[in-house]
Amino acid sequence: MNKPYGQILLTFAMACTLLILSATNAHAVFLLLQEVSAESVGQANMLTAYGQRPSSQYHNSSNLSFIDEDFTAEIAFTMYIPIATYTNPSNVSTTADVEPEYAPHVYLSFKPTEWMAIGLAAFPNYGIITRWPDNWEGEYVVKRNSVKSFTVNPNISFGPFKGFAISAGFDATWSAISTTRVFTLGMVPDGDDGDGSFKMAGQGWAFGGNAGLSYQPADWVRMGLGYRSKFKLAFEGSMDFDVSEPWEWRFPDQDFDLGINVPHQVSFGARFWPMENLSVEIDAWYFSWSVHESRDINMEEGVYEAPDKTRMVDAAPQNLKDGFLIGVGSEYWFHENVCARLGISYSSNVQPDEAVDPVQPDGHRINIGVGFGYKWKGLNVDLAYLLGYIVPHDVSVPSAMPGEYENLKHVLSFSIGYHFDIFGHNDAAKTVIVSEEAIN
Amino acid sequence: MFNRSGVSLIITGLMFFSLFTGCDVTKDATVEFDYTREPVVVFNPDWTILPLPTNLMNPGFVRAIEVDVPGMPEREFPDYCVAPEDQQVSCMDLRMVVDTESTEASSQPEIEDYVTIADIQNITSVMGYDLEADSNLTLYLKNSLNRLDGYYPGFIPDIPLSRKIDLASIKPFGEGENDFNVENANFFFMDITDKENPQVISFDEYQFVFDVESRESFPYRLTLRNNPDVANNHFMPMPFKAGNVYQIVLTGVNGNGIKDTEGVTFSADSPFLLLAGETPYVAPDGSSRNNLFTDLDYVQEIEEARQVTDYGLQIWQSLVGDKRKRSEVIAAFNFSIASTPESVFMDPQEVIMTQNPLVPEGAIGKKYDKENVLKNTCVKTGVDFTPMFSLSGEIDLSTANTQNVKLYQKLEDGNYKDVAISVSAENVNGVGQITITPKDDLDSSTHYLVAAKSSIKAKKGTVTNSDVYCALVKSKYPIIENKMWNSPFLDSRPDILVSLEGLPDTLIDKDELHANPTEVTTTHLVSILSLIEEIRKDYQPDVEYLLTTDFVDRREDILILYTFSPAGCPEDGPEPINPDEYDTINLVDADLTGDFDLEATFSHALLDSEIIMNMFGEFVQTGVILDESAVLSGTLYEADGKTNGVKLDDASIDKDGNFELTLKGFNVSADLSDQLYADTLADITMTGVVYNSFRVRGNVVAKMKDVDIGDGFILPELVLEGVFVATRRVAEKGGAHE
Repeated sequence: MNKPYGQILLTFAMACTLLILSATNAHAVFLLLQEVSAESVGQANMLTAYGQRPSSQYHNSSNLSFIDEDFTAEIAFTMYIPIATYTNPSNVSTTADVEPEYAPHVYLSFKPTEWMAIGLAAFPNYGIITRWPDNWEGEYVVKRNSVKSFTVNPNISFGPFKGFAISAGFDATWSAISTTRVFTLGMVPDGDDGDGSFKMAGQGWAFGGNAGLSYQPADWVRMGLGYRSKFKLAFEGSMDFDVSEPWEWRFPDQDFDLGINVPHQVSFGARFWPMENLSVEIDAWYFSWSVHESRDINMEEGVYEAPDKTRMVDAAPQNLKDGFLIGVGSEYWFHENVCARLGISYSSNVQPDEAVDPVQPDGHRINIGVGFGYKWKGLNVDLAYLLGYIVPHDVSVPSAMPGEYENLKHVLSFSIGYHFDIFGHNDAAKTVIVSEEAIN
Repeated sequence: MFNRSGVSLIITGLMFFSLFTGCDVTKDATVEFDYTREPVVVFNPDWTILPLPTNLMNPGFVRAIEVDVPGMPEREFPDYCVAPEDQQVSCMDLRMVVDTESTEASSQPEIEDYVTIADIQNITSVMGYDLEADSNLTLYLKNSLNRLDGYYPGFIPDIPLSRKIDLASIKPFGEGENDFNVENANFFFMDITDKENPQVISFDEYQFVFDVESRESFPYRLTLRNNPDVANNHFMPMPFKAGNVYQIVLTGVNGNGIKDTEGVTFSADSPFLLLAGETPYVAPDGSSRNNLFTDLDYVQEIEEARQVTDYGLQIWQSLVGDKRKRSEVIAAFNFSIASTPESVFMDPQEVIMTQNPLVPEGAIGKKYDKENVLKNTCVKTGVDFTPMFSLSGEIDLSTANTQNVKLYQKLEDGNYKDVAISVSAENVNGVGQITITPKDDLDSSTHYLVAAKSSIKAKKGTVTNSDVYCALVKSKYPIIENKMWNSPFLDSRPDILVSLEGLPDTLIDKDELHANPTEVTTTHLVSILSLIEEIRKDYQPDVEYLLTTDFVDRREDILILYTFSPAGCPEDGPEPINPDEYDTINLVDADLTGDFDLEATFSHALLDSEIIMNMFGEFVQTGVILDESAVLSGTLYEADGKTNGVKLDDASIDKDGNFELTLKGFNVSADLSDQLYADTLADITMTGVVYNSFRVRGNVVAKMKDVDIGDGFILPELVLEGVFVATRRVAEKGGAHE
């Protein structure tokens, strides 16, 4: 192994360790996380056609071909502050515990030749954490819920040739789930400490792929097409029922498996440079969330609902709808080393009313991002804030918990990166415009 | 691509990552549970396993206990529990368990709301005992039950237990001599009809019967029975009060709870805990607040049952205050007694005593004779007989009319003739009485059928219904075959046990009863059910006929039916004397004026020998028998001819020498058997034939009131039937000659 590769690997390994020690938590737009870096967050994640940082390979892996530096490493930390409130039909409101969640990311890009780039991304792709207060009225639905994932995504991109670049990647996603809720088992016998709580935790691996295509016909415009495949977040783990003694035989602790289908994602974007130091991108995303039909927990032994009825599957029908997202992102370098970013997006609700519950209430979402970037020599530092507003979802149809769900999230992202001039043929501060040579 | 150290770092890192993300889950060892080993108050009220007969079986019951489940659609009563004439009554949720795979399925009644055996086929493996499809008789009886707004007043509440109980560990709450105080009691029995003023029922008023079935496996049944009112000669457990609501609460958990025979405290069954919760399972908006059950309609049912349970537990809590905690309760349920007035058709105590059990005057029933041979019996009536029957509660008098009360004459060719009648009704001492007055005299020695239907309304507007015995007699299906009853509803052995225990030792061998209670009570039950089955068979043609008329559509619509036969029961009753066996009738100059010795020979199924009563009569005859103008009067004495003289009512003697005379208030003071001594007043009816001036023979019925049968026990009535022979005292007549 020569020095450059060893340097890359060492950097990535160190970054992963940092991820581990930071105890990753996340909050999501439905399950999907797009806040991969401060550059992304500041532009409301509109980076399909263009990304200056290695993190943009998340949006479109062919972006790698347009990063001119030999080797760039980037780590990002995203902090989520979700604020969720449920108001029951009697107008009694409950607000979920507000605790910041952190999501770390690591990205590398390496361009050994002019026509090929490789990248490696490690990021939380899907996730949600919900913490409702103790003894809240919906604790029988959920008390604590956490879905976390971490995707390792190597990519390779070829180009640009005549302005075109094409890429492909492989996704290996490790995910974990943990859930706590309370069973509605009625009265607790005197002296029994079984509180009816239920805990389950599991984890597993899932695999998918991604691809990208970019085309820059002129120096003022570039278009991108990104794709991430559907796969199933697969969890296997154990369930622990802490119930009172008369119920114990009906609720044996046991293993379970659970699969959550995540969608195909197709994004298309076009970025324009009306001025040399200003770029504006319009993106549209399509998500095939209809693949997520049910959240079924398959139990190894099952639970006895009644002597004549053993429930082997804890099913929560989801029947999600396909969804879309559209948005605009922009970046303006008002100083040689400092830029400002702004973005806004709207995404459609994919969750039918019947499936809305406190585990993951969803709705139409509006995201507004703002950020700043700073570069100096090989160093990049970015900071961004995003306000995620989910339009209040008033559920009146029969469902797990009808009522009004209000959700807001504050997202703060910080990224730092550095590009190494391994081969000594790249400028440290490349302009944001690709060269005519590359286009032609 | 990566070297070994790099890959190791990544994997190790991800492993650490996973450690930070999971919650604390520890799999405990699976709990082995077995109802045969764990002392549990088995409580599966809504899973068609143990039909614990409580209001939980009747979530639609809203009269006594109001339930309010938001969003729940108004309950639709299935056809089988809708009373006639659109009178809606509560539907007891006595689910029909049918075997749709059975070849006999086609013979089962059409039922829309049922549970199939296939639905619950794995119950056996989980609960450990067999479950069978309901018999046709059970289905029929459930239909009948579902026409009431509660349980029969005589119904038997059971508490199923998984282990045999130490009866001494039960500590009833109350203020009686045998009761415990609120801190120590573990059994609470209350009348909660008035929610604000619950009445604690002392253990002085009830008792427990445990496992009268002598079961070899669970569930063992702890049965609560009201004490009989022996002082007033009621040996059957007293019925529950019509329309009242009763609550039973068992507490345990700690060492003060009820225990099994090995000293282990009984605990609650998990379904009970579910129903004992205080948090509603349905939100105000109608959505489910339960994650144990997935179907909303099932959650709604559970919520109804929870509210019914909570209703009783709140009353219990108001009673015990802060001295006891709700979480100590291991079982609690309430049951409501039907307020529906029932036809009074059969006296269960008379059944125990093996007399003609039918209550309506003149009704033809069955009885066992001395050799346990079944015979039809009836009280002979006159041709001017006015049939009547009673209902257990007050009725709306205006609803009793010729549209729902009928009198039919059974003709010799098998047809029936509608007899012109008028119907009158009155409420006397809380009892509805209906009298049928035929327009014309009845034909003698002919069967008549009295029938009424349940559209006779109670005073408060609900329908009336048959009592359980009339329901059995109406049944299309045999109630007993091969000495085994065809429905578990008929297993009244606890009541028989209580009754037999209450009888004096002179009438029942207590040693045998205590040694073999199951065998003895089973024998009695089989005997009783056999008797009712015979009545059922006798009445089937009449029921079938009624179903062919426009009078009723279904058996369930029949409120009461019975037959009687004016002026004698030709094919029934005591065998009449055959004059040819003894005497030649010579009535030409027959004159009974003079002194006669009477010897009456009686028999009774309860008595182990014939009873012979010797009496002396002074008769005076006026007129000539052949002229149909003869009238007999006189006085009857005890055998000594001096004491207890009672005047005979004047009796006409027809031209064939037949007469019927009665004397009321004759003091019977005699040994009825080796063990039974009677000292009471009797009304004696003698139906006889005059043979000549010296001999009269005939049949006699002695109805004795308040018979002191020893040991302080008083029978309200003892009816002895027999024959008599009256012979002139020859010496006083100046020489015997015939």
